[in-house]
Amino acid sequence: MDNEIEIVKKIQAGDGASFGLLYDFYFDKIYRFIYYKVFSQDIAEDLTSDTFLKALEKIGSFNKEKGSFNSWLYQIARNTVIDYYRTKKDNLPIDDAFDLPVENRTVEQLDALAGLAKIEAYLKQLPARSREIIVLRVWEERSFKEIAELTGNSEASSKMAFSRAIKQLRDECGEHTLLALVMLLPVFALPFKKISYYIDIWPS
Amino acid sequence: MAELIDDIIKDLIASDESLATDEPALRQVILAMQKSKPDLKLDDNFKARLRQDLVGRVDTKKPIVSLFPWWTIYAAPLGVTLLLFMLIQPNEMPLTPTQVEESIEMAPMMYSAPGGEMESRMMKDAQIGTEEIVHDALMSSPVSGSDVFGVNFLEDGLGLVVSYFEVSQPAFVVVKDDQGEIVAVSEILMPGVTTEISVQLFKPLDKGYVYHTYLYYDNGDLEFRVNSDTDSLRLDNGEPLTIPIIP
Repeated sequence: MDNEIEIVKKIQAGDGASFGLLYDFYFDKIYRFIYYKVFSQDIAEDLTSDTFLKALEKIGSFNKEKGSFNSWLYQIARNTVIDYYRTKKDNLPIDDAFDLPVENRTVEQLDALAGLAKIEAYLKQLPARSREIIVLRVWEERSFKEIAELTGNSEASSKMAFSRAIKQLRDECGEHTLLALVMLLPVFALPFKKISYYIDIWPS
Repeated sequence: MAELIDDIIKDLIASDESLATDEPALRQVILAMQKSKPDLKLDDNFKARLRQDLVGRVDTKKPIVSLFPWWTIYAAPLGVTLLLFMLIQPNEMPLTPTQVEESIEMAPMMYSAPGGEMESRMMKDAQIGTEEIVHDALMSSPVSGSDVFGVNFLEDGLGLVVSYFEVSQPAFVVVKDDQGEIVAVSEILMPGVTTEISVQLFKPLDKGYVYHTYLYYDNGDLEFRVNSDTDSLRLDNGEPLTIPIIP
């Protein structure tokens, strides 16, 4: 965002209209970022609200020398999601809904993740950061430069992490025949969305 | 979608040329992920309500960092009056912008608190012809004789430097205007001796106005919270002990 630092300074001085500018620019991005971690509209709304409240509370201490506002805000969002799962699940290392056991998922989360089927199982095996990079690149269509900025990694390491993760998915997915079946899955899976987690109907 | 997949494949092959032979398989994986992207649900009413709530919190009358006790509004004018009275006492040289610009002589700044040490600190000469004119103020705590800090401010009103800091527990240096609004908070300063810490101002200091520097002891969370961190430097009558600074 152009003149972002100037806008932050105005907010620190108490300019509400400037905060509105930042909010308008970042809301959809932050909401999507959180949604693709929790796969629940209610939870995403709560955590997005928490993220912006925390950002507003801490904006007085934001220091541009330590990084961009973009990466600062995304880190708050990331930590908000982690804290949410930590308080819900007895401090288990859950970074997003992929790490949740199936029996702990809501119906909404089951629906949202049903389309992924086998891919979800493979995504679950990846480190949360690699998963995040894949989601940012493939679902949110962010460039590696953008991904690098908001994850705090370099562009090169983001590309490397993405490359490794995609190769791993490719290896796990197996032959083209199986992949073709996975691609057709959404069409056939509609009546079996919930059942698919309990009965393995895919050919081994 | 096709363009995105092409870009992704191009990046992958650029990072690892051996992947060129696996291009069809990689395309299948990425296409599968794209096709299985969950539908995003976003409530525009929620977005608008949240915006209204957040913008309303950023009120120019309210400080960004938390509300102040109600009595601050009444205590602040009294504090300013006492300060002015002290400044115009004999042998005290009030610091006005005009005097700063014309180069003031060394003048003592005395501050004493019941039960504590009396410290005096000589004001440094103004530097004519330079962009920055630095003034120094030092205060000692009546709570613990070893807790001491000094604050410099830059004449252009854009910066502060904690020049010397020696306290017994983690703390923040906080600057407020005479309305009680916070205009600067240092990063957390750890026990021991620290020197030359820059403090970011939320807004430029206005010349000729009185600002007060406080020491807030941290409550353990390593974050400044005006309602829970301890403004522990106080006089016997409960009034906060502060260093006044006048840009």
